Amino acid sequence: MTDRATFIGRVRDRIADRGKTSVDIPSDWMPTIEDPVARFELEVTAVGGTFHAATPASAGSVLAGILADLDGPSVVVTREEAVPATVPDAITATGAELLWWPEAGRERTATITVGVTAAEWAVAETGTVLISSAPPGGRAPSLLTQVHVAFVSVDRLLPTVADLFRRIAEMPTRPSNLVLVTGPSKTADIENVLVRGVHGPGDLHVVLVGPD
Amino acid sequence: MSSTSPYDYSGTFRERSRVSVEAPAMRSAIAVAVDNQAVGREAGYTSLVDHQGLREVAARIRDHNLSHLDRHLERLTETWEAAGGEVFFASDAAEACGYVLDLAKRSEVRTAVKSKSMVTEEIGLNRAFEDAGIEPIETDLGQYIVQMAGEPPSHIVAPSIHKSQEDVTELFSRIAGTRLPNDAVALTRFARDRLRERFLTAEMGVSGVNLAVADEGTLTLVTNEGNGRMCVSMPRVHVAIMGMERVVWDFDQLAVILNLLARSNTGQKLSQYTSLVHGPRRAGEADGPEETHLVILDNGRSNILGTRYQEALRCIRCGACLNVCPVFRQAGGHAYDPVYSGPIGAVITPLLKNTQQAHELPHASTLCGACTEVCPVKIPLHDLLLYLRQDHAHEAAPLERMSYRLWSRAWATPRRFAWFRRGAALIGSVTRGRPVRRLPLPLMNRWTKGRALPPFPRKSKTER
Amino acid sequence: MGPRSAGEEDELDKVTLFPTCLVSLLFPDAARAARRVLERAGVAVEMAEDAVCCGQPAWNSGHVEEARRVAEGAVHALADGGDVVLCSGSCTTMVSHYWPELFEGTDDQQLATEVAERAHEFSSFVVDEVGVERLGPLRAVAPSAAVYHDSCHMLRGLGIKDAPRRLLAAIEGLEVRELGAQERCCGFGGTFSIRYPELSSVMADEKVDDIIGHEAAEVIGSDSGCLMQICGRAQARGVNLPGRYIAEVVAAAIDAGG
Repeated sequence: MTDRATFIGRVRDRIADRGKTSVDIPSDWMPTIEDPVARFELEVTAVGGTFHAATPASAGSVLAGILADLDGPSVVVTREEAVPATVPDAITATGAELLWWPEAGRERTATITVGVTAAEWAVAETGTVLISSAPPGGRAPSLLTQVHVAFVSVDRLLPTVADLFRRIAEMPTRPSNLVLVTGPSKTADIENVLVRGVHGPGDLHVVLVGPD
Repeated sequence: MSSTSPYDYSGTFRERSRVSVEAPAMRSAIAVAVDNQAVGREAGYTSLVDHQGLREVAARIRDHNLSHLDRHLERLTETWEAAGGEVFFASDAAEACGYVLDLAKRSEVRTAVKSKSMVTEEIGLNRAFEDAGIEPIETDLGQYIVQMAGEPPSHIVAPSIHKSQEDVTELFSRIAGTRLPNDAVALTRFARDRLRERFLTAEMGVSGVNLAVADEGTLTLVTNEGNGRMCVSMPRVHVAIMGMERVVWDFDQLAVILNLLARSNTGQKLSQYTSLVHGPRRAGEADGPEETHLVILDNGRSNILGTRYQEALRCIRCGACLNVCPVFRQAGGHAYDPVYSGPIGAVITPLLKNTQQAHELPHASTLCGACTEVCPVKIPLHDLLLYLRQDHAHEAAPLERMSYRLWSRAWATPRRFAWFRRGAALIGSVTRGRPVRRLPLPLMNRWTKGRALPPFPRKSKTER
Repeated sequence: MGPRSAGEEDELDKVTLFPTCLVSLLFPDAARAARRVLERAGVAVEMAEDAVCCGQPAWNSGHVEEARRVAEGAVHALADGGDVVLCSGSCTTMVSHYWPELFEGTDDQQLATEVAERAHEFSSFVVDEVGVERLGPLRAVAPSAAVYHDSCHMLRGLGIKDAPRRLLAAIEGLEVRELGAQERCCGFGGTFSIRYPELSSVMADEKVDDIIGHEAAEVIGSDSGCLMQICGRAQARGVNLPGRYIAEVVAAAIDAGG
């Protein structure tokens, strides 16, 4: 069994004779995003997600609209702040079954149609939303369901991926799991045919929430 | 399900590639897949401000990581352990498998769900699991397909690229015990349902690591299907196995590399899911693994450090070189090595493995340079292939070495070369300016296997 | 001699023409044509009779000493003089990129490096150093469509893509079509074509099919090895696809240009 000092010592010996290189990342390598909201909508759609704009007041009816297209859906919701207050009532008003995370638990969540979560940040350049495992969020609601609805506040919309990583680096504490979600789950492993919803949700709805 | 391969890797590249060469349908499937990825890749690059400039930055980042690798690994250990993770340093495949099996035993693991990882193929982890009575389950759709078919993967990023939809329908129907529709959506749904239950009941999840972020104690996993997220989130124990060179220093460097990684593979700006794993579930988190283990693997990589091949360790396993290689598209992934194929495979396999098969791989290339041109971290792949040929020239068959020696003497002077010109003119006068279809001379008959020779010239002197 | 405008100063550039081994052996017309084109432009051409081979076949197979032994002869044969023009893109890459490395640490290092610096591929020399206009009117013998094949070493090793196209574009009546997979290797790769004949042949098939698909009457190239590969494969398949070295096309266009 090799101990770590020996392992790293070997690495050190092997690179000892080579010069140490440094690297300067130019500050301007990212693209400039002219109209982040418009670009975000474009990218979410391009990666196969569905974009919605809402206010805290209209968020509930946006979700009700999503549920209306589904057949007898059940919904699990997290208590994250960015999920607007109008959402839970709007769900029950449609007659859909509403469960809360984490009470629903993992096994139950695997049978639920729709997972509603917040996103910590969003990225205009790529249509990405950042999903966090920090409480009151979790991993299962955005992963085990067939449909994932992510609510993100417009003041959390960043221009580029590079900007997002700067914010992540600045987080005072980081959860055990962060996922950059860019569109629904997909594969082309069978003869290059694009199929959605392999293991993760096959439908992704991103709701950008602006002021009333 | 056994992971032993029906493919025979003991022969020559020429023999192994015959399967693909003689199967136009298979070659066509590979060509369609890699060409689609090429189109996507070109389109993806247009969304970068300065693609070539970014490649240069990425190359320098990776060189920086390698030239400070000891410090990066030390820092990674500190930050990963501070996040509650555990680290194990494995010198070779046996140590790596040993650690994982010990852990599996302690944790009473019966099944382990796996997210696609070439490194786990490299150490033969599936075989080790099976020998210990543990069932490894590949969950990446392409990987699941080849596991069920009992074959090794044929492409770094698209393991089942060689299988047609009909192949998969046959395979899945056999597993299902009933005839499934010949439809990609139905087949995918079958795999999804089949694997869902395994995700929720497996005691261990195994993944690779695309890039570790040393200063942040974070493992980056780049996937598209969601199975990666499942493997690192659902089971109680998560083990991540990482080639020791796969580390960057901070998130700024990660951002640059990620911007090139998905684009270089399929042209997407980012893959569907980029997971940032930072230790086991924290206090207050409702789900996630209770233990996370990082196995850092050497297995010959330290031998590459400090040599003229060190640049090969910049590799981020994007698969672009495979997609662009004119030989790969005809020979297929299985002609190379069970683990790494294509140009990068032809470079690192002989550096990691000391076998005759491995040493031949650098010759299975026309040195066209397309790989070097496309590599997002600017590995000079075609030059490395050339150097490898130099390193192993002394192992060439005696007949070959003698031929080159004789040839070099024969062509060293214009007077001796003139005899060859006269010979060519003689053939020319015999064949009277017609193309030569068959010429039973050594080497020439290899040429005429598939091609005619041009008409030989009839004059031996140049006109003035 | 060539058509120079009245009153233009006589710039009698002088070059050494290095046919390269494959051309000397099998395609001497290519070298004759290159000479004709250069002389037409007012360049004095001396044939490098004593230069045999740049050493590429052995170099590419990793046999360094043998490559050096062969290349030594060429280094010395080209020692005196100015610009060297080669009738092969891949040989030009060998000379200009790899000779310094091949001769590193030997007595010939300085000489080889110096020769390397004045080595030029034929079409890029004509276009960039001499100027296409010095060739006078160029006309295709009959209007036709052709394909130009980029050899990998010239394309990626030397970075030359435009020059041969500009040269051919000056020929009236010649249409040059771009292939679907223009930059993909034809499968020659020197000794690769002998080591892996089946793979090499199916690689050539894709190229031949691409050319046929574009209904080109011939393939034009700057590397005789590639032409041999593509046309040889076509021939074996019973497909009529002639090929010519670029200088031959230009020389014929000079004659037809009047």
